[in-house]
Amino acid sequence: MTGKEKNNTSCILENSVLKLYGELTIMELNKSLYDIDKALGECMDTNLVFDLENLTFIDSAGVTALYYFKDKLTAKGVNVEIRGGAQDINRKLELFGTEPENIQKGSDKTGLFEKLGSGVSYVFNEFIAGFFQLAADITYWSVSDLFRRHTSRKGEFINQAVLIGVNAVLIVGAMTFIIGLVLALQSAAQLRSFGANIYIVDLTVIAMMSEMGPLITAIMVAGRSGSSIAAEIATMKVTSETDALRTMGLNPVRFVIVPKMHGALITLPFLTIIADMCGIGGGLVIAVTSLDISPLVFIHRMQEAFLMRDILFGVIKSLVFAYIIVVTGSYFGFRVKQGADLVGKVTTQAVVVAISLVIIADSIMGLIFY
Amino acid sequence: MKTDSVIKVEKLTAILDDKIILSDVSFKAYSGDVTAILGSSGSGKTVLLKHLLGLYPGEGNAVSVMGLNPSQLDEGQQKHFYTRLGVFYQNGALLNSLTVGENVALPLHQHTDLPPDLIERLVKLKLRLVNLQGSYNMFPSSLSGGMLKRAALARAIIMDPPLLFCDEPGSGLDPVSLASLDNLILNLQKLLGMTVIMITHEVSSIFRVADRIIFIDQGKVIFEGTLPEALKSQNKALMEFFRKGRGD
Ligand SMILES: Nc1ncnc2c1ncn2[C@@H]1O[C@H](COP(=O)(O)OP(=O)(O)O)[C@@H](O)[C@H]1O
Ligand SMILES: [Mg+2]
Repeated sequence: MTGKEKNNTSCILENSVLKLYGELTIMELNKSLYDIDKALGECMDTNLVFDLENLTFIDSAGVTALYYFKDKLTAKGVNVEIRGGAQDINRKLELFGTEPENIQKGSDKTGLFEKLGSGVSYVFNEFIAGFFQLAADITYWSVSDLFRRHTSRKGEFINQAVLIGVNAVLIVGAMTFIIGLVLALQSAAQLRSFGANIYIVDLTVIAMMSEMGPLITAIMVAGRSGSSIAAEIATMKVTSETDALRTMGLNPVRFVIVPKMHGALITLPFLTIIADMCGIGGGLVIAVTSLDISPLVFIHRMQEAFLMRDILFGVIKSLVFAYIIVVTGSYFGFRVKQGADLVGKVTTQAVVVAISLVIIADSIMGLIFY
Repeated sequence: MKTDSVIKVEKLTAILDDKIILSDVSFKAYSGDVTAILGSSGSGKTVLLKHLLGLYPGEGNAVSVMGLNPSQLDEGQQKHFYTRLGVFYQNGALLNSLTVGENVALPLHQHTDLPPDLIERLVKLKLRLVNLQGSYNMFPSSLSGGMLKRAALARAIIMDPPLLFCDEPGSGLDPVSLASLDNLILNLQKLLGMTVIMITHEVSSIFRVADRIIFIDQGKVIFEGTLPEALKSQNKALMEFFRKGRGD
């Protein structure tokens, strides 16, 4: 066990012979692959020998790499011979060296990106402390992974954006349209009795942009995605997938939650704007049908009532809500220690708490901004 | 004689949710051996494994794995530590959203910057070693129980780790699949020169693979020794265990 890792691999290319020294193992390979590749790239000969005489140890990855180079060179028309290895090394060359059969690519990639999850440390017993620690962890990695693209999973972020945002467009749009409709309908009678019909526009626009749009969107997303995030992570904990990630050196928060956080933060503002529009559409329908306001007048008035500030406020709110939903979902997912029966319970808790926190945050922000 | 212990546990006590799960557990496991940790269900084997893997950070000095205390590693040490061990989890713990090939490749992507075509070769070699060459593009959900276990084994050995942990590899398998999985693990152990720690409650597995045995009962180590010694032991719980396991 001792001292093995100090023996670095090195290679010298001379007179069509590539001499390898030291140990050729997976971690050494990671360091020296580039050197070997470079040395071989400069090689102009048609015959080449890999001399393993000075190689002290090789593992299956090392053998695979040797044949990998050999095949690359063969493809360029270079004849490669591997020789000189000690008995032990030759045995491994035989064991691991057979050509890889070509497994054809392209079978179905229908994978639903579910059942991912994560494991933070077991110290998170305390409710509040645990929650804020997790929130801090998620925040840290969400920000730092923005600048380290290669570490996060390519494509997973887009999958999450689709799952959390795009797939919710229809339901969110429909719900806000109905709410816009009902809101305008309820106010119509009152406004008519004051002869203040035209203010239906201001009412709908302001209510939707700064309050209803972001809130309804967040509640729908908490119900759809907050629960699925909690269930996914809880399931991963129960099946040890989070432990497996950690012992492979992967951080479950980065691997599982960060793509969800990015996906939610990107899509929720758009979802909110769509919700605003649908809600105003609902108001428009009532204005036209029961208050005798023509669509043109409505839109003209809307331009006056419409404040950039309201839209911006709605977008900022939606970012905060997205953050709350993802953190709460993850937190309840992580609370499961063992036992699949708890998965359903934490899922419900996650939704209830996420919606409560969203409403609390909404009122706090309302107080601050007005 | 065996002197180089890969794992040394001295007086490990684990308390979870105010329950004592492990009390004063001490044992050693030696390089090149297959050490079986046995005990009935709920005796604390998985909790012990998690301590060996450093999954309960910052607790005590009782455990030493490859000369390191796994619960107190800094980031660099931890990365190095995890490249040198493979873990086969109780139910495979493959990620369902990734194909078998992608699952097996995960540690390579995490720990190395090797080019994708070489990574693919390494993955295919390991899949071939566990007789799963056709499953590279399949999703875990479409594999049978036995195949799933072998895929998990391929992932556990992808880094050629000197140390392999298996948590109840045989659970849920029929006796024939169990025997072939045991033989596979044994072959790989010889092939890759690994030290294996195998947690199990299958007596038939122990006869096939174990060099040494650690027997855990209700959070305590009741027996530590070689297989022949274990068979001669007069310990009640151990005798009962062997009798029942054979009868099954
Ligand atoms: N995270 C945890 N929190 C509280 N109790 C736990 C935890 N993990 C395991 N336990 C308890 O520890 C005991 C041993 O569990 P385990 O090590 O999984 O048993 P096994 O030997 O079957 O692997 C069980 O009683 C289990 O309920
Ligand atoms: Mg267990």
